[in-house]
Amino acid sequence: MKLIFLLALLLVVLARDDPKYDALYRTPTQPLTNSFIDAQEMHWFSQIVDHYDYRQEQRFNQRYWVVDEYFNPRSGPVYLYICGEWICSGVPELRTWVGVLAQKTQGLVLVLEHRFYGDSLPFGKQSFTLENMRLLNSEQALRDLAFFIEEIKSTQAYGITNNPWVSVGGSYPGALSAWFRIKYPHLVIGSLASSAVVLAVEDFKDFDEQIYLSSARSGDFCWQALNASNHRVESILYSSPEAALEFKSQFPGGMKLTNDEFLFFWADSNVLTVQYGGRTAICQQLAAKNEDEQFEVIKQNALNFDVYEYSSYWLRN
Amino acid sequence: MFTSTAPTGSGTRPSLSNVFAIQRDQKCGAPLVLPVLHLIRLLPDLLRPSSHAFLQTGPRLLQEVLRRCLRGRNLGEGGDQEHGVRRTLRQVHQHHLLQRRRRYASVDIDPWRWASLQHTENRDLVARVIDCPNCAHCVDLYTPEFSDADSLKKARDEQYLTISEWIANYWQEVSRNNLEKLLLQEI
Repeated sequence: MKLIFLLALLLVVLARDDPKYDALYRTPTQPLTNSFIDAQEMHWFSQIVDHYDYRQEQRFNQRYWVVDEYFNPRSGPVYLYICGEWICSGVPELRTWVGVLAQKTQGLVLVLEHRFYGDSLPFGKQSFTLENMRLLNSEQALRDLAFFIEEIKSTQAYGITNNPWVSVGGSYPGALSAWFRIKYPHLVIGSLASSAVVLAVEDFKDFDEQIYLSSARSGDFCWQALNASNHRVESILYSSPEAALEFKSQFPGGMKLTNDEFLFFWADSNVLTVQYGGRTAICQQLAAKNEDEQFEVIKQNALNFDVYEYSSYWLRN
Repeated sequence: MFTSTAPTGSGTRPSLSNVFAIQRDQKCGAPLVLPVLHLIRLLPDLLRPSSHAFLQTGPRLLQEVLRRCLRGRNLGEGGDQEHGVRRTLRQVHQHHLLQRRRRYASVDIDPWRWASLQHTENRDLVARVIDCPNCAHCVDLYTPEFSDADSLKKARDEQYLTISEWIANYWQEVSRNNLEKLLLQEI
């Protein structure tokens, strides 16, 4: 008798309209305004420098951003948007899908800057010595995220209590997002991993192959022009030091690059163009042109990119 | 020129970390002394012009030496590069057994798709390759536009539905747990 009563009670409770469940589907979708970007507030979080050194607990200040304008603390989820190998500025204006998700599900968005990037430097100006950079790795970064969630939960900041967390990231942070769900399944209910590079590949030939396949969609002339430009630059750079210097100095800061660094920059300017959706645009410009004109187009495209991060000289000075 | 078969050339590009490692530590002579037999076996491949790989630049021999040279270097916390690759893959594969509630999205034109997960059978681990013209690396995280490709819109809708489901399931679980606690107290 008691058992039947319990079962009946269970059924009633499960079947009733859960306000939290309903809220998800009732929220109308409004167009996301710029206010989402403006609403981001930056704060500092006291993070542990070395999560694997149990003898001491040195701290550093890590940046994070909050957007709580859609948040319903009673039922909303918390989106942890993971920043990666760049200076973080919260959710960028061009990447607000997480904001739309937050709006639709009455969620909160938290953005955490990756250690060693932007202003989140574990050792301040001394962060970039070899000795200190041993703490720049994905395992420490994952522990950063875990500690961040734990602290936010325990202080009930922003009204967060037992709200569900979802991790979100793209590219390297995409991999972090996927790994995080595996390593800390009790902290997030799921993860969204966009273009997540979770597999390690040595000698990554498929990468080049894909650039070929993608540019070939516009026609063979496109990949042929890109390929020919690589060889042309290669022959210029290795013909004579003067010719190399002359060509490289057409790019701001370019004269300080070694030939190999410059070739990496050149190939990468093509890669980045294809990778970030510029394939049709550049291929259209290359159509029905002779080789010299095509080279000029590709050179102009390369001029849109900075050489500095390809140069060991500029990175050190 | 590029052949339709799999490229035989190395796709390795001198990445920044490699460049650093070389310059910081000039003791890269040792790998140059490759066993002679091994070198002879490699020769036909090494002397091939560099045009075999689409983006590859620089003399092939030099690249090969550089690669071998770097292999023995300590490139990070976990030892040499090969070891690091193996360790990451071991983690990923081990984790595939434990996978739950993850969503992967890749883009068909994106060169990084080959380092991601593109197909799964598991309902708790959804991987989608978004096939859309002029899409980009991480395009699903971009700000939605009316002009987005239908395939992208569909992928985003699916993401939203999946996440909503996770959230709903979570709250159901919470209320079930609360109920259990309540019942236990009563008993």
